[in-house]
Amino acid sequence: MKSLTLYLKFISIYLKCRLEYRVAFILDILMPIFSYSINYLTIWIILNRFSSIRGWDFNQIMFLYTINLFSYGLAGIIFYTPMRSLDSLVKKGDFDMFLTKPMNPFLHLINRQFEHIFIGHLILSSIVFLICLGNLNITWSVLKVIWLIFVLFGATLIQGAFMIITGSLSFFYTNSTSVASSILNSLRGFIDYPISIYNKGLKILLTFILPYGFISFYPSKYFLNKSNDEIFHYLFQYATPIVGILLFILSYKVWLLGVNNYKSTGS
Amino acid sequence: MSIIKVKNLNKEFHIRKREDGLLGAFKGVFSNEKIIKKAVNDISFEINKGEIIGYLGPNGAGKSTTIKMLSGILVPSSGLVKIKGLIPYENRIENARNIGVVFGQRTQLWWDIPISESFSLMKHMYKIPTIKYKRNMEMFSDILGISEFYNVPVRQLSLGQRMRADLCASLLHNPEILFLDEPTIGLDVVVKEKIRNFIKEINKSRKTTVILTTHDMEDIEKLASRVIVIDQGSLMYDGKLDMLKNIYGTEEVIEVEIKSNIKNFDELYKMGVNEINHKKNKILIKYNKEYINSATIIGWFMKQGKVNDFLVHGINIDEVIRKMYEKPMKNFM
Amino acid sequence: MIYYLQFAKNVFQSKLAYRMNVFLSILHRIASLFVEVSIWSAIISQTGKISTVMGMIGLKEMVTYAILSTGISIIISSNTILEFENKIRTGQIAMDLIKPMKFKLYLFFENLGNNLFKITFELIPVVIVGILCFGIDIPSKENAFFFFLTLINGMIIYFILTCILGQLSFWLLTVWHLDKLLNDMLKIFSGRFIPLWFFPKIFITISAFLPFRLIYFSPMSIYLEKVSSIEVGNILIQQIGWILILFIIDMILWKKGIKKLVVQGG
Repeated sequence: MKSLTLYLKFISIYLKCRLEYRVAFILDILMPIFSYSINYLTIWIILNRFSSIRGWDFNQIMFLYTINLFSYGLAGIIFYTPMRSLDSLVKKGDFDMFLTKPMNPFLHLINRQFEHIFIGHLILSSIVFLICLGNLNITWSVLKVIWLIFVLFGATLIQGAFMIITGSLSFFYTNSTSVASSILNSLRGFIDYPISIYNKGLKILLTFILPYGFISFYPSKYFLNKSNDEIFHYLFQYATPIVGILLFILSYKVWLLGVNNYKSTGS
Repeated sequence: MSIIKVKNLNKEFHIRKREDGLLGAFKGVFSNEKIIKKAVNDISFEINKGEIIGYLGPNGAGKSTTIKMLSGILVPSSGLVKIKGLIPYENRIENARNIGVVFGQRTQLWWDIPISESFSLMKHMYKIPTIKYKRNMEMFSDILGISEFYNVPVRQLSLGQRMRADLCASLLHNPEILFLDEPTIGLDVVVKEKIRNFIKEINKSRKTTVILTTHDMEDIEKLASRVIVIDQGSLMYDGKLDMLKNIYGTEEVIEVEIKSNIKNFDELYKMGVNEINHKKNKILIKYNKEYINSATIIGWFMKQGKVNDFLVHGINIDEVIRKMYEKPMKNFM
Repeated sequence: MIYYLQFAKNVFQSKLAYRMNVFLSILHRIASLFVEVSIWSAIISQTGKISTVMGMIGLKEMVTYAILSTGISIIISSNTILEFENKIRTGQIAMDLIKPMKFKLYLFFENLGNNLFKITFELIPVVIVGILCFGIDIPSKENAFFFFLTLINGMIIYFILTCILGQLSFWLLTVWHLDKLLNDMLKIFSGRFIPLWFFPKIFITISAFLPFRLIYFSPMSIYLEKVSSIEVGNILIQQIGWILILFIIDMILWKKGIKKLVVQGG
């Protein structure tokens, strides 16, 4: 609780400082909006040409993509920059500083850096989400809305967990974080489209090994009323929050391993 | 009563072997050879409350490694460390409340926000009561002159300003022990002096125990009453600074300016000086303090009645330490 | 020349030191190739052959397209823009300018070292995996020759583009936005992911006015034998035209930038 108030205090200070350079701030946020608009555009170009992929039409794929983008943005605001900075913190030995403070180093690290750029992801995905809702025939109920919030929460945890795991790699291998995160970025490319289009091996990979499928594909199946022609259990559509929590715990364990490694090698 | 206790402390590192050249680099991709390096080798010492310790040694001697083990950053390979009765790496968070740490090359402050806000976040982190915080802030900004850059984020500060801010931040919670790793590195003379005075003041008024590693011998001479010297991981000396000077730094130099030439120095050599360099009217005399003192030498010149001016170059601690590295004298301890 | 090659060697060697990175980058490239191939096979397997303005396109051709395009992205990706930004912002550029070497040649060879590294540890493994897993079309000798020729031209276009954007750091505070922007433009208008033959008309028209398609799409369409020999000549002329235009812009910017550096002292 203490660290949460500390975090909120830090964010408010940070935003206050950043907003003093308004133009730069706005540019920083416009950049990902532009960038991801291009991604939406590529999806549009393909779906414009082929009208649907394995029974998923444009709006449905947009819905899928939007859950991915929103959760990525939310996780990115909190975890991206701290985890990316870990590489140089460890290399230069600056991580020492975190171990001399009466605070959990994980919370401390997250507390020290914040990334406003990802606000752009949130803005764009929210807009696209609203457009999608207009075009999709989903009958919303209170329960469904609550469930959506749970799904976004779980998806954010999954995205965050991957950021934490790749960041923690720097405790073991110098300079590995940026490459590791570009791998994850390209793997994340898999879930731009429904994973039902892939072969069995990839489906297993994206469900059990790198459970990206739970970020957007399985929950979307529920919201879009997709039939279960998959080899996997229908309960998977409800698993996102659980998978998120489990994966997040796992990522924290990896982090702890990394810190212990640092404590014994000092680099 | 000792506040820090170190007994038979060891730390080993495993380093991956790297070979030179393009071929070696290729090999390195697939090989897994490791080398063991002993960074700290069987060190023991105790430090009492209120002491200022100069922790000395050449680069790579194991100073930082020791400090890291004392502050809970590194886990020792073997041996005992106790700070106020706590084992730092086992009670890291509790230990962190008792200590303040400043690394000359790094900052503990938030990068993007003004340092004033950093301080207030520190207040939250250490749960410092408002009254104590305010009193400390006032006192520190007075001595360290922080108010000039109070509203500037760290990334825009000069090294000297950053150092002062960091020192301030590390003391806001009134730690009983302060670790300073190269606190004056890269700073100009004025700021160095400011920082030294500040450390002295804190030590006096709060009985803060200070452990200082530095390459700047002036830091040591002005601050430390006791020095611990380590080289290649092993303890070389632990004791008073003066003692160290006495044992290793027995050779002094006296510079005498004379009115007219003196041709014959045989008498001086007989009295026990080591070396005489003669340049016009300036004479440099090296002598061993154990056999002859400066007063005797000056006396001799006075007797000749020709002294214009003279200057005694005292023992330079830098020189002393260097000598010590050249001819280690373990057995004298 | 040997002197500049040393830079290439240094880069190569220093990258080898991080072996985890070596393995991870191979993995990264293979993963992204799989993504692309999977998407195309999903799309094409539902419709069979697709008729386009450039003839019938089958799965094998799209797989080849994906492998080639991944390969090209491996060899052209570079840090030139950010390196410029860093050197100009920190004033390091002044130090580089007083050394007896041509700054851009230095950058070029550093890139080359990077590229040799990437060819050895990313391109070759990816192409091997691609061929083993999916198979690849082989063009005629003539087309292969023109593919490589236009590919090299494309690489030069890309290098000059990054130099131009990087040099804008003389005037702009940060250019990482521009780096992203270039990548975004490439993503859509170069045919990196989606071949231009699947584009709606309006996008084909826009891309005709931009140099980006000459980096990816044009060489690949030659490889896949989708263009006539007249069109090959057309592509070459366009590439050379763009190289000249961009080179002149680059020169002007460089002269002005250096002048600004000298006048204002960085």
